Amino acid sequence: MKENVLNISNNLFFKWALGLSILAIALYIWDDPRVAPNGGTWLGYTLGTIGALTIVFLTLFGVRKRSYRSNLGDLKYWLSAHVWLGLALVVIATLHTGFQFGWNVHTLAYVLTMLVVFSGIWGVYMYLRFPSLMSELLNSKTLIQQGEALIEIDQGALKLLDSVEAGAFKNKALQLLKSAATEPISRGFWANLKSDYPNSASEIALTQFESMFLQGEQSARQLSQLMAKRVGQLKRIREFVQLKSLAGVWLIFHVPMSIGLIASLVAHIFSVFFYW
Amino acid sequence: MESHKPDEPIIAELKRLQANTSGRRFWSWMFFLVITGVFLIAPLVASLIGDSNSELLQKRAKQNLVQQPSPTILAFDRVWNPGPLANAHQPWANDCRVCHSTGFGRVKDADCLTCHQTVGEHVTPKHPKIEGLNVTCASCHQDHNGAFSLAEQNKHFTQGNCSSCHSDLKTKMPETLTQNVSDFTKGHPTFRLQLALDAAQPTKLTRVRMEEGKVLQEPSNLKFPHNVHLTPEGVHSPKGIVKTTCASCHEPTLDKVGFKPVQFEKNCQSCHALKFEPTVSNREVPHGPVDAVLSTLREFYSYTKLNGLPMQTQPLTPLIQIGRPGEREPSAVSFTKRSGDDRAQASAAATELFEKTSCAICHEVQRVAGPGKPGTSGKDLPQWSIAPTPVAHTWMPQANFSHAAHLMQECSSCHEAKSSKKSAEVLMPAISGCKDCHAGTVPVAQRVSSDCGVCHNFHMNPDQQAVQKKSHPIPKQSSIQSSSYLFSSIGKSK
Repeated sequence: MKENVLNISNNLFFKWALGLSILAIALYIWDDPRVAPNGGTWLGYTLGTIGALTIVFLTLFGVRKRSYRSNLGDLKYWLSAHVWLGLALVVIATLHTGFQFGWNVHTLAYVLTMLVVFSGIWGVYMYLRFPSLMSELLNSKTLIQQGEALIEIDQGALKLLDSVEAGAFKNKALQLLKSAATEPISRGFWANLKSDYPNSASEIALTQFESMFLQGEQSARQLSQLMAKRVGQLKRIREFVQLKSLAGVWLIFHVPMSIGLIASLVAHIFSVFFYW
Repeated sequence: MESHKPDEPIIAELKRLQANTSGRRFWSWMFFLVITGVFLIAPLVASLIGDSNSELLQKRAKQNLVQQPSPTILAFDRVWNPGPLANAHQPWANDCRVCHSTGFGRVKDADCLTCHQTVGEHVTPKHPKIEGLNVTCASCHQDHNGAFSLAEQNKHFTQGNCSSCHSDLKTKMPETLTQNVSDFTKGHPTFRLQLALDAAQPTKLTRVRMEEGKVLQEPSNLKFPHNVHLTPEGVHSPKGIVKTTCASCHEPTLDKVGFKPVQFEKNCQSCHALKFEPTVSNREVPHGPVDAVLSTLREFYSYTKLNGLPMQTQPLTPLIQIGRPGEREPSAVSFTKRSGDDRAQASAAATELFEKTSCAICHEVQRVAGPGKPGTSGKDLPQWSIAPTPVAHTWMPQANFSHAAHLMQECSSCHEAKSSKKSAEVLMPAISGCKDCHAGTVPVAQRVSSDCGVCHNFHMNPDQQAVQKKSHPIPKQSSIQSSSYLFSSIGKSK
């Protein structure tokens, strides 16, 4: 199997996370606390301490990621540890709660932890899946080059129209080509995520040229071929934009949520020792 | 490839789309500031401003506890509450500082004792601090774990903690009267009962340890053989043969923890009628003071002397019983037929009643010199004294035992009443009987696992504690619970 972020170094970090989780579960089953399992028993404090240290370590990944000159371990090992220990945190943090939840800072910290971890799982999926999808879409070109190809199609179409004699068809064709060429690629934040573009001007132009050709307008044949190419190219770019936006949105979620988690963790730890 | 203008709209747009999505930094700050503000700074500030713990409690004492708004600003620190408080503490759910008087420290005993002033010590006040017993209230009672009471929550988690001291208590406290205990099955001494060893001093109770195979005696001044009353054939009563059971006399209290006092009128008199005149079946003397009995007799025979028998000598039932139940041929000679005046007739009836047919059946009766109680009509009759019978008291007042929890058992599976010949015999079952069903902490097949908390309390009864302080653990009468009343104060007469 190809080595990736999950199985790097012969599943090293997976084994650590699995061992930690099994140990935590075993201790939880073995422990017979005086009143009810909760964060304040010896096991509760132990799991809480391990959990808090884990969170600190996971956050340090964000720091390490930005220190390009750091020699402190290869980033891919950091990422692998980040992923697996993050998953182990689900077990540790859940057992730390003793399944006691409420409308308070303690459960807030837990919920934020879970949101960050589960968004992280989505992140891992994207990390593993998107780069190949995106490079496939770009096809060894840059995004700008893909845009230039679009412009090329538009210019080719205009050039083709030069040789058409003036008349109703030419006016109509010019209008269609212009609205296709000026159609914006993005329709905003949410549309980027969904990659759903109804009433696309390029597609309208394509169907119009196709029907004109079927009605006997010979010049429309080549134009419809060009528009088909344009629709395909636009789709490619928009799919790329979608993937890029999803990845971007994930970071807007994952990173600020983990900062919120740190804040709630500090409040949680402070409060339980303030009112011990 | 054809060149294009550098400001081609598509290229400009793609360059914008290519840039990283912004907002991470903004939202990070937002989350950080909001969460820190609402969940850390606000509760902290709110908890630092305002009344101190003692001021809070003084205010609470004057006002309605439940409706009192939180002392902290807008109850900001409620977001720190980690879980539901015990029901009794819930009125203070928003008053963190009522219990948490100082920051960064566990709840102090002083905070608990502000309200719980009467809670009993674990050991005698002579030894308020035992080395090794470094427990605080919070060591055992941990709130915020649900609505059930804090006392309840600890009952069944005490074993290890108890035996860490009690398995070797004699070394730690050489002067202790308590024996070493490690586990109910393996290392539990026999029960120690508090008994009134001197019937003349029924309130002076002494603790006596039971011995396996030996029945303890507690003088009662009563003649009551359980065996005679529990024969399978039944006993002869005025209504014929009656099979009496334990429940015929021992009626459970409403909570079924113990039993109501046995009362002569309710539980004995239907068989043991206090009749005195053979020809009159419906007259009885009161089960009361000697002077009341003698006065009744004196007045009865004076009346009959003057007016003849009130019932025209026609008995209500053909067979008049004035003997013990079971004596089927009692003397049936009327005292009114005797020679002598009415006083002599009353004297004869009294002698028969006190010494033969009634009082002496159950009581220690002694002839004493007259005259009797001044101002009573019976003062010129012969006089008797009835030995006092001790007030019923519990044998193990500190133990948690409920008969209700053992209703599925026959009485006789624990109490050997069927073979008991004397009322002095203490029918407390031996610990070996308990062990038939109860195991210690370590589970045993077909036994009830029972740790210390099943029967014992950690805190001493404050009454018990007060006597412990003096010398020996003897509870005051007020501390005697209803749990095992056996006899009421019958025969209080002098």
